[in-house]
Amino acid sequence: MLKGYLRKDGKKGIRNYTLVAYTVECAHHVAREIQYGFRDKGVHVIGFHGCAPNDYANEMMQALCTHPNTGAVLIVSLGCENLNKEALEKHIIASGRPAKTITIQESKGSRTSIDLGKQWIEQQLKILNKQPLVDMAMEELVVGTICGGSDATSGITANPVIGRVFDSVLSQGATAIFEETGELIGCEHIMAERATSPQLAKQLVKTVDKAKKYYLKMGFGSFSDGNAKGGLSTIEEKSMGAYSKSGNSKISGIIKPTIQPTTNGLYLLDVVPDGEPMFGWPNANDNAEIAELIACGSHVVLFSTGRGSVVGSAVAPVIKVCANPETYNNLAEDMDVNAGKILNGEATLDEVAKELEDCVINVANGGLSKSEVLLHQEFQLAYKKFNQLEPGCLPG
Amino acid sequence: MPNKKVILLNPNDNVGIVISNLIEGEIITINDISIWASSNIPFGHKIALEDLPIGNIVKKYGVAIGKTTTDIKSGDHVHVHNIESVYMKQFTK
Repeated sequence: MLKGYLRKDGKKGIRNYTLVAYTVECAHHVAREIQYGFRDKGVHVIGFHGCAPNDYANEMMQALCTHPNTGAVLIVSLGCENLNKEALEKHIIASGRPAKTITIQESKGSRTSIDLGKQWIEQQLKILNKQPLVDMAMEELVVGTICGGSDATSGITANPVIGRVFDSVLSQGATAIFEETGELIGCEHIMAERATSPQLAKQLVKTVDKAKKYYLKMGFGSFSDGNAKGGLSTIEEKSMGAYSKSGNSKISGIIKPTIQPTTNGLYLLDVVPDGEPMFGWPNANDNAEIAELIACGSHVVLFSTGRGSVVGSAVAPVIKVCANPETYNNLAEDMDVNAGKILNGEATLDEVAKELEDCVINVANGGLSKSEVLLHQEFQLAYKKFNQLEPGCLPG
Repeated sequence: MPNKKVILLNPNDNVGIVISNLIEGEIITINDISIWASSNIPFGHKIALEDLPIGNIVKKYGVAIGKTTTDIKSGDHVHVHNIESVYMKQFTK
């Protein structure tokens, strides 16, 4: 049994964070100044840099501001940007969470806005810090996964370890989300065999096909010499390395950013935009994908890395699983689990999987991940465009 | 636990993953079967755990990752020179 924070909308979080959410880059500095003194007290900054309107950005901000780990939100607006801050505040309040908007242009400028913001955060922390923990079942936990800074070790240690943990938490009733359709090219038919319905099987293949076309248009998508030097022989072998993070359980559905899984089970998150390439790369960096995993409800994200990423995230803890033993030795202070020791013969995949699962449970129960201790709270949200999910993607 | 040089990612696999450079003639033991490495095989690469005649499916992670383009003997280095993608050719250059 886990312990969590019960929200008025019925969700349970594993953290009790206050967010400072800026609604355009012009309000970023003020938001950061408000948060700075509280950055080790569970106050995180998220925001959208763009001034021109974007439905995806509105929906991402709404989803993150009502995430189970979020307890209260301070919206910081310049005043003339297009992000729909009124709808955002309304959405947060409707979820039962306290929210306040500070508009810099109407608050006599930066200094006054910063002071007002700090006062509000102090009040919220007093309330949130008194909130009791309640029992939380494994069935209420959502775990996401991503890989970044991959090398030849990722697909043989950390990724299969995460796959084993996915199978284990899924068997205990939790929900799990994997993504990176661009790195699943070549194993979509293998993946389709794990679908819980024929319609979903078709959609899984279609989703990877979309990624394939998108990446080809962006001038990317082939198998590199570096891959072959590392020992990979075919595109499907390379993709299987990334795919192995998803484990062997049945796949219940496909979701897109901000769509929450409708049942417990394993979901593929499709992060590749719909339509013609419009705003650039599907995701500029790992944190953009981490934010999307979190916006779909992930309480915690398992990050597999070979070369050694050090990032964390705003809104939800990131657990780093290091695939390469040399990288682990270099970056031990940033790594939660050393899967590289499998290569030194010091542990088996199953043993490291047990260690990672214990780490997930500990972090879910309030234990801090390495990136949290180091106050990594990276956040990235870019312009994107998605269509509605097609029929057959969600179960039932 | 002995310091392993080859690991098996799935019990159904017919190739093992070399986790410490193998030199030609070296004997590795996996699942109680001993195999001669027929050539040097670098870290991260694959070694055949059984004979794989031409056209056979190569299994890693318990799934097909390609098929053999020549007869492969147990202990051979399995790579781009003797296996190919069964997926779209343009994605393997």
